[in-house]
Amino acid sequence: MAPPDLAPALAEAPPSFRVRHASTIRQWRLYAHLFRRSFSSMLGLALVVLFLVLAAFGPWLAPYPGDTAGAVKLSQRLLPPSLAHPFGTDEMGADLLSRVIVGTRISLWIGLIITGVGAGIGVPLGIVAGYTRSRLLRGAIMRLTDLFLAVPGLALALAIVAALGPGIANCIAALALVWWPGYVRLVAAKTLSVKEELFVEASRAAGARTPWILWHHILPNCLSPIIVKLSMDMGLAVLAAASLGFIGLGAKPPDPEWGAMISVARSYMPDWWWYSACPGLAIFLTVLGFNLLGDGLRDILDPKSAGR
Amino acid sequence: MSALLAIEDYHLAIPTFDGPARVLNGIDLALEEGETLGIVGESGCGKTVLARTILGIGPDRAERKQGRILFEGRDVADLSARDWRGIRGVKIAMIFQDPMTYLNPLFTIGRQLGDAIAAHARAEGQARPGRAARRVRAATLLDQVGLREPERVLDYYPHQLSGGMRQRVLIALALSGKPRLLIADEPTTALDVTVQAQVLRLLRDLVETLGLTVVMISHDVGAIAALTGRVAVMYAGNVVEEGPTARVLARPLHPYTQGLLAALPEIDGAIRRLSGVPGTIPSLIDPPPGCRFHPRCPRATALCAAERPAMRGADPAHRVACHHADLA
Amino acid sequence: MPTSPEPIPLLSATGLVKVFHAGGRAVRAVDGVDLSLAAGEVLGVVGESGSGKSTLARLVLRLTEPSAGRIAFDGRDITALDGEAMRRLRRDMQIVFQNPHSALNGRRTVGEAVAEPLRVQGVARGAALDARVDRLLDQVSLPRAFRHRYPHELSGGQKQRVCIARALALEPRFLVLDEPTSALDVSVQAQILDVLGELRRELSLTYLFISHNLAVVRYLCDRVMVMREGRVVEQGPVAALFAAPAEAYTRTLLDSVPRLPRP
Repeated sequence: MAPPDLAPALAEAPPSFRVRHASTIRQWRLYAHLFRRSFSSMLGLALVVLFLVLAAFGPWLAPYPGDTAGAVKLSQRLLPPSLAHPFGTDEMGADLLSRVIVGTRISLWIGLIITGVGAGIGVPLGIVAGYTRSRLLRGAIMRLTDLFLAVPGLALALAIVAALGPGIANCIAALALVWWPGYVRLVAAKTLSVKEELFVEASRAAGARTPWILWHHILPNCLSPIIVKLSMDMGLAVLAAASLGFIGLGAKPPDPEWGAMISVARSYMPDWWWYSACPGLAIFLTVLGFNLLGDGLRDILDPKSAGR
Repeated sequence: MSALLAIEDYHLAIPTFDGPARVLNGIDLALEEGETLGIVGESGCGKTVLARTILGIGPDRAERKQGRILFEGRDVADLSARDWRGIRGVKIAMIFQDPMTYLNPLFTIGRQLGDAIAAHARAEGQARPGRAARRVRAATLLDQVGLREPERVLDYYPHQLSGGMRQRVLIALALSGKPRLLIADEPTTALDVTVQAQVLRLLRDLVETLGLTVVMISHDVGAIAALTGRVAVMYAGNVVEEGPTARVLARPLHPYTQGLLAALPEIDGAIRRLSGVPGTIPSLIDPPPGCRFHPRCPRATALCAAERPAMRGADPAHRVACHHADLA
Repeated sequence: MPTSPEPIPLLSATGLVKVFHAGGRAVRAVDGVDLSLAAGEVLGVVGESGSGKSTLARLVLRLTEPSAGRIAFDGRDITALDGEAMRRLRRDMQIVFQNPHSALNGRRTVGEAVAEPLRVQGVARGAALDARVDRLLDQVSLPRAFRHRYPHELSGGQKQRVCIARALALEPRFLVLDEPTSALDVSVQAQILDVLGELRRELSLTYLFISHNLAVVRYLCDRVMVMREGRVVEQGPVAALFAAPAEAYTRTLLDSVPRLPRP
C-alpha cells in the first residue's frame, strides 16, 4: 500500500459527486450527529419546522379558513376549547386555532423581513468597518452604531411608526431600520480578527483585490456567528412585531396577527383566558424554537465545541 | 525494588465521530528513582497523551482499554480527587511548553510561589508558613533556577518576564514541593535557541544536584539528548525502541528511529542529503495491522503486516520492536 | 571575497527601516538592513524572536510598507509602485508562511486555495485552470484527488505542500520562505526541504529563507545573514560563516544548538 502522500497521481476519470464532495458530506454528517445529541436543539428544530409548515400551508391546514378573514358567527361567541374548536373561539365567533395557524405566516414573514433587512444593512457595514484601514470610516460607522444601540430599539421603532403612521408595512420598516446595529458590532469584531489571519495575507500576496478578499475569505469566516444571530433574532423580531401589534401600531384586527389578537383579547381576561393564551402560546413557542435552534447551531458551528 | 513509575501494557482509546482512536497501544515503561527518561516522537505519536494520563489529566472521555499505570506502586486509575491533591504538583511536578498558560497573569510571581509553598506545607501536614518565611523560600527557589535578583522578580507579574524567565519560574514552582517525579512536556519548544540551551543547562544542573527523577517529553531529539539518560521512541501509540539515550541515538535499531535521525539536519560535519521517513503518520482510528510502521518501512515484509513485533534486544537495556532489527 | 564583476541582483534592499508604534512607544523592528540576492541564490536570514527577520520578509514583498529605505526587484525600484503595478509584480514574487494551519482558509478546498492566485491574476480559467492546479499538486507530490479536500483533513506537511503549490502557481522567480518548516515534525521537515531543494533546481528559483534553525539554514542556503534586534550582525557564505563566525553573538547561537551523539 502506498502512503497517501506519495501515491502516484493517476490520470483518473472525473470523480463522482460523492467523491468530490466527500469532505462536505462528512462535515454535514458530523453536524447532524452533534445536533442530534442535544435534546434542546432538536426541540428547537422541531418547533421551527412546525411553524414553517404552518406558515407555508396554513390556509389549507386551518379547520375554518373562512374565520380568518373576519367572519362573524354570533351564535358561537367565546366558546371554550372543545373538540370542534380546540383553542376555543373569539368574540366574533371565529375559530382561534384557525386564526393562530394563519397568523403564523404573517409573524414569520415579519420576522424574516426584519432580520433579513437588518442583516442586509448590518453585515456589509460591519465588514467595511472591520476591514477598512481608515480610522475615520471605521469610527463613523461604529459611532453611528453606538448611537442606535444607545436608544432602545423598540422605543425607536415606536417613534418611527408614530411618524409614519400605524400599519403592518410601516411596522416592518421601522423594526428593520433599528435591527441592523447588532450585526455591525458582531461582524466588525469578527472581521477585525479574521483579517489578521495568514490566509488573508497570503491572498494579498497573490495579488487579490479587496472585494475578492472580502467575498472569499472574510465573509465565509463570519458566516457562523451571523447564522446563529439570525436564528436568535428571528424569535426576537416576531416578538417585537407582536409587541407593536399589541399596542396597536402594527397589524390591525381583524388581521390574524398574534400581537393584535392578544391586544383585543386583553379585555376578555381572565374569564375568557383561552382567547389571549392561544396566540400568546404561539408567540412563546416561536421565540423559544428559534432561540433553541440558534443555541444548537452555535454549539455545532463552534469549532471548539466538544465531541468531534 | 519496585519502580517509582510503572506503565504496564497500557491501552487508551479516545472516541471520535469516526470511531475510537487508539492513541496508546500497549505501552510498557518503567522508571526507577533518580532516572531521567526521554520520550521522543513526532506529533500524534501519543507522547503528550501519555504524560497527561500519568498525571490523571488525560483527554476527556478517554477510555482505558487495558493495562495500568502505577505510581509508587498504586494504580493511578484508583486515585480519588483527594488523593490527586497530594500527588499532582506535590509528588509529581510538571512543567509545560507554554509557561503563560500555567501562570496567573493577575498575581505576582511571589504570590504564586508563596501560595504553592503554603499548599505544599498543608499537603505535608505542617503549619502554614508565615509571609516572611514564604518569601524567603520563594526567593531561594528563584535563585535556585538561576534568576538574577530574585527579590525583584518576586514582585513582577508574569507578563513582565521574558519567555525564558517564565519557564524558569515554572521550574521553580515545580520544585517548590520537593517532587519525587518531574514531568517536563516540551519544556524548551517555545523558547529561542539560546534560551533553550540555558534552560536545558539549568535542568541538567538540577537533576545532578537534587537527584531529580525526570520524564521529559519532546519532539526535539537534541533536547532529549542534552538531558536524559534513557530514551523511549514512540510511533503511532507504540514504544518502538528504548534504551540508553547515547546508544539509541548513536546506534538506532528501529527503522523509524533511524529515519528520524536521518531527517535531522546537523550543525556540523559534512552536509548529507536528508533521507527522512517517506509518507505520513497513519490514522489512529484505522491503524495498519501488525507493526504500525510497516507501510512506511523500507524493511517491511509480509510478517510485518501480519504480526505485531514484540520488544526484544540482545542487551536487555536496549530493546526494539521490529521483526527485522539487526541485533548483532 | 572574489572580485568577479557583480551581476545585477534579482532583489536588493538598502537602508530598510520599519518602525512599529505600540502602546505609545516606537519599536524599530527592522533598523537599517541592506541585502542583495543574486538570481538563483538562496539567502538565509537567521535570528531569534524579535530579531525582525519576519518583518524583513514582509518588507521586501511590500506586504508591510517600509518606514524608510529602498527595495529593487530585477533592477527596478519597487519602493513606490502603486497598487495595480505592485499587483502585477506579485506574479514574480511569492511567500510561504510559517504556519500552514492558519495560512489556508478552512472554508475553501485545497483546489480553490491553489487556484486562487491564478484566478485573482486572471491567468487561467475553466479547464486550463483545472489542468494547472493538477500540475501544481503533482509538483509538490500531492495526489490530485486532494483538490476536493478541506485543509482540516490534511496533515501539517500536506498543508505546507499546498501552500508551496499556491506560491508556485504564478510561476514566480523569487520566493520568500518564512520559517516554512518550523511548525512541522522533523521527518516532514526533511520532506519539505527536499521539495524546496528540488523546485529550486527545476525552476531556477531564488529564495529568501527566514529561519531560527541554524542547521536547516546550513542545509538549504548558500549565504546567511544573522540578525539581532532589527540589525544585521554578520553575513557571509554559509560554510565560512558557520566554520568561523566573526561575532560573539553568532558563536553563541551556534553553540546553543544541541549536538547528537555520533556512532
